[in-house]
Amino acid sequence: MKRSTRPSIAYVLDPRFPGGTSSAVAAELDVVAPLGHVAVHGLSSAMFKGQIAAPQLQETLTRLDLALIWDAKEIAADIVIFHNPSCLRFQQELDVKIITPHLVVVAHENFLRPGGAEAFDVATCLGMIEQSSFASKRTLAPISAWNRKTIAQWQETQKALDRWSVLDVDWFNICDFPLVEPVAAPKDRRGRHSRPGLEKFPQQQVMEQCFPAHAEANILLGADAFVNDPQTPAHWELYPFRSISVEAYFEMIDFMIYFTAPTFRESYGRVLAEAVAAGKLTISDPETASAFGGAVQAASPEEVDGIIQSCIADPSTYRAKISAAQRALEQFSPSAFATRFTTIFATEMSMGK
Amino acid sequence: MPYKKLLAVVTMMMITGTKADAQQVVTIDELRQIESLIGQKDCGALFSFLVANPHTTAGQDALARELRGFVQNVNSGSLECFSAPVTAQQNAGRLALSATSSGQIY
Repeated sequence: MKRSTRPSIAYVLDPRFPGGTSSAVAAELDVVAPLGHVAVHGLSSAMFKGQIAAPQLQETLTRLDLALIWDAKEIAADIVIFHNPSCLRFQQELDVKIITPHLVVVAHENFLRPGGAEAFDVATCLGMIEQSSFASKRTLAPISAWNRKTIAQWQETQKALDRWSVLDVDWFNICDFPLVEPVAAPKDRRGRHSRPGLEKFPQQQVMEQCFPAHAEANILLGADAFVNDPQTPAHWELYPFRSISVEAYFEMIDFMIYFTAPTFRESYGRVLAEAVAAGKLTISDPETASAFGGAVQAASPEEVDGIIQSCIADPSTYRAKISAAQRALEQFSPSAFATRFTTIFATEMSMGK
Repeated sequence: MPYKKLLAVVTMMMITGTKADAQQVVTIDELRQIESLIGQKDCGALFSFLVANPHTTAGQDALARELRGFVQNVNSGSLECFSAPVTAQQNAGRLALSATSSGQIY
């Protein structure tokens, strides 16, 4: 039988992840859809209820005219890409048979939390995928250097990964945000945005240090947990998750300050790249910043005030920093991902179906 | 996004791609067949299929290694084929060969 040159590519994920996973897959589909016959499979994992995909993912599926196939009993393709296995953390069985020459599981979540505790029951989640798949090759794909480090550290204590290979390059999040020029003269207008989960926020003391009363504005988007908290400082301007557009939020700030709970670390932190593209000086802890190849400024909470004051005093430095940061985002561009994808799957891409 | 650049990259990679490797990749239909034979514990048919389709045991991936071990064990007469009790779900994934084979069929 004559083969075409386009492989079949199946995406498997719980499409109800509200944040980074769905955004990452949406951006990825734009790049991968032209490369093969793409099918998108939605899993109704026990992590979420209902069958409504995240809006950013649904918008991409609609635009690409891709159907979302819920809970197929069998998934067969030349390449199967399973995004974010942590969606299986609240169940013991996965009722699907996956048949493929190459199964890739994109980690998304860190396997270990800061301090070394397991972030979720990794062995059970990977075990379910393993039991449900018949594959020539199973590959685990870290999404960033930090994510890779947690996988390696977890692997040291486990034997479960013996039957998996770990990709030697990162399956990075695609950053295809429109680049906005920074303002000519920044003001002390600070903000942060994220999902409202408590793990996304540092201790109160750090929050108050990063968003002090002397700042001209402190804009917190995704601040659901603070809205009815009597301890919330009056000088914080609070917006629940998705209550205003991200564009409107960015209009209100010049500096994005992003620290998380000490027991949590972003594996990538897509919101940070989004802020850089929006022309904001973006500051985070060194480990989180390390995922962005210089696009995010690494600092401690104690250093934030000084960085902001020096930028306000010297706007040219502010603009230069942001221009350099935006250039650094090029390494996460759609074309960079297309090159990486075709390199990883060179064999499968040339076999087709 | 620069789709022209993207397509140029992909086209070039497909042209210069690893055709030789591709010939060794087991297809979905072949995987189905192998999985089915394992599920049925049909040792003889599996052996015949693998011998008739040598590329299925030629690769360096985990499955090819396991299948190669299976063929070698049959050839050497040292295989107690599929004697381990297995569930249908296990058949699909990690069926244990209770032979002198080194491990598991993926």
